[in-house]
Amino acid sequence: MTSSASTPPAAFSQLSTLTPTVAPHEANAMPLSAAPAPLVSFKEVTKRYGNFTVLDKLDLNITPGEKVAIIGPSGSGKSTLLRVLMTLEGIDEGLIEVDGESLTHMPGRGGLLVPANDRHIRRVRGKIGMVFQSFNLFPHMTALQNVIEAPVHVLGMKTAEARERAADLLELVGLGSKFDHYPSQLSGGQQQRVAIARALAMRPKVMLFDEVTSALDPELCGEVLNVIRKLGAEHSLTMLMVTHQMGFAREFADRVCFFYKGQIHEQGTPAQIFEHPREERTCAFLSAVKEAN
Amino acid sequence: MSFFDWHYALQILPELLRASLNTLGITLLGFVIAIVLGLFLAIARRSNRVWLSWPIALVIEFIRSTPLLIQVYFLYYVLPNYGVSMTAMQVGVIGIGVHYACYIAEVYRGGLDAVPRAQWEAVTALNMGPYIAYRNIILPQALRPILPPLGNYLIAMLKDTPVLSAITVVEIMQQAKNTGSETFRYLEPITMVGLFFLALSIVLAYLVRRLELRLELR
Amino acid sequence: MGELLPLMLQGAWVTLQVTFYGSLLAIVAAILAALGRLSPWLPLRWFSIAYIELFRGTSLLVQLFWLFFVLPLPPFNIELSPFAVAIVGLGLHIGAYGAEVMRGAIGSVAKGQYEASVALNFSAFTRFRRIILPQALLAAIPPGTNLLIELLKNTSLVSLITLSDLSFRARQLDQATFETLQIFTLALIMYFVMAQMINFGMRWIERRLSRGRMRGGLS
Repeated sequence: MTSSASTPPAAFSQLSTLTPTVAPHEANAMPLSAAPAPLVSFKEVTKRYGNFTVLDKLDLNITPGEKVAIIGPSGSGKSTLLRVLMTLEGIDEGLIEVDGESLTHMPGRGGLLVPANDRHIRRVRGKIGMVFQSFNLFPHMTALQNVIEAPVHVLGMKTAEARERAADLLELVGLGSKFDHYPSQLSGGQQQRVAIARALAMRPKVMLFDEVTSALDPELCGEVLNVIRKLGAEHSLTMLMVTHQMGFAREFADRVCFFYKGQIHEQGTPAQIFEHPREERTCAFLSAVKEAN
Repeated sequence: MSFFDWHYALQILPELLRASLNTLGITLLGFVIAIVLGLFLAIARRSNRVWLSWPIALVIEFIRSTPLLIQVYFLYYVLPNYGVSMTAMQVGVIGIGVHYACYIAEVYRGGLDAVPRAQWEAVTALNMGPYIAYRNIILPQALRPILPPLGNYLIAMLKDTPVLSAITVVEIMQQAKNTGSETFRYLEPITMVGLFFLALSIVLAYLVRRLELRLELR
Repeated sequence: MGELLPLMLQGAWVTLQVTFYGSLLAIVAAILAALGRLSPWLPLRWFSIAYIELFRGTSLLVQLFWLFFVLPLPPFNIELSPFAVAIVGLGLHIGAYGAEVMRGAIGSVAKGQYEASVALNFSAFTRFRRIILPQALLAAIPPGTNLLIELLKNTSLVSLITLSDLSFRARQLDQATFETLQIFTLALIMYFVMAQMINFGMRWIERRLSRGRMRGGLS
């Protein structure tokens, strides 16, 4: 039941000297401004399930405050990208860094990087929050209790303080009147908003959204997307979201990455990707999506 | 194990084995009673005639919710007052058989409930009498999935036979106690009895699992 | 009947006590053994499997007699009161069955709960204590109720190691008064009533624990 990252090969034990490389197909669409140190960076991250490679030497850098949308066909590895960042699964090769620290490795003897132990992983993991497609609220707790549970039992916050903060967050997501409701008494959209509040309560630096509207009836998507919009506008939160909501990605994201077969096939600003896609596969995907709508 | 007297253990082995025959005999006979009686109880329980199904349901529930020990005490000490005299062994077999018949009745009930309604209707449409219907159509379908639970109850019955020692049935546990009290050496006899049950239940459990696989139920 | 009842009730009280404490031990043993069974650490897993198979595979009465007759002797030299033997024997016996129930119950908790807990950075211990165990216990109540009733019925065996429970009193009274029919009928009824009490009690607990939860709803 533990979720520690798998150990990469010995060749990566001196990764402190490795500088991030830029893959050729990324060179044509990098974010402009003077690049501050990335908050999250993936360096040649590879993950396999048996013979199937789901993440293929992935390189990705996310600057603080950036809002990145990840789109692509199913099976391309989009969700896996989020899951390995959230340490729900390990990686086979490569390095993931969050806020300047490695997620998968820690400094060992002699300055070499060794596979991270549980304490290190937990420390770095605390900077990341995630909202899931199937909400995953704790069914035996009310909305308020869901939001205070982790701050009290993981951060050691006093219950009164946690309650105050939870109340603010639930107000923020528009559920000020539903504190004492159990998940089974809330609609899908409401549950997802509680899930967002719950993740925010841990004050993450990076928020991951894994297809958070895919399990919702169409009329409930709006309320969740509005909350995400609000978060983006009012707080300088770094967000990484896997989504099928092209319209939302277009209007909200700073950068859009088109994922294909475990790699970022093409990336750029929403205007670049949605209006002037360069790669063939990107075009094919976007037109297929347009067809479906 | 220097404290386990192997010599003594070998010495008492024959009499323990003889008593184990009683244990096995009671288990098998009791099981036969249980699976036959259990079937009738299950059919009666499912009957549409309320005057039959309700009392039977109450009896089944009552026997399942009360200890086997008290039930055999009841049979052993109460029945003679009404002119029925049986040996301890006979009371033991009947007591354990009836007790488990009630558990097994519930298993049958589940199996019979699982037979698709359409089968019952076909049987009616073909104007089959109840005996033929059950024997040729219903039971063959009902019994397959419930054979593993029946196997498990056989194992449970085996392990319940020592209870009968309370009414002087000389099965393997009683024999061990007698032997132990003669020599004041209890470690060997009781441990051996424990191993006897452990070995048998492991073997039987393995056979039940094999049966499940053969019936392709897992 | 009037003379029978007080003594029988005394015995029933002992039965209830043994059932209560035995249940506590059984629940603790079941949770620990289930965790041990699921543990990635092999020695602990082997130990748990051994405990479960040993106590499920041998007869309860054998276990009680072993604790009662063998434990006081060398080399163990542990003398337990009949009451202690009863609780330990019954608790460990039913706990072994309970371990399989708990294992199934823990396995029935939705995987999303683990993922959400990891995302919220719970430690494995806190995650189990606050998130997984409460949900597993709720799922374990229906099969667990049957096991508790088994435990109640099995307490009758402690009469054979001289503990003055309901069965012991029934035998005692029978030998003294020979009102066999009344005594054993009354004993059966008292056990039946106690079993139904357990049924109702567990159903009440289940209802309270699943407050606000739909049966089989979304997690």
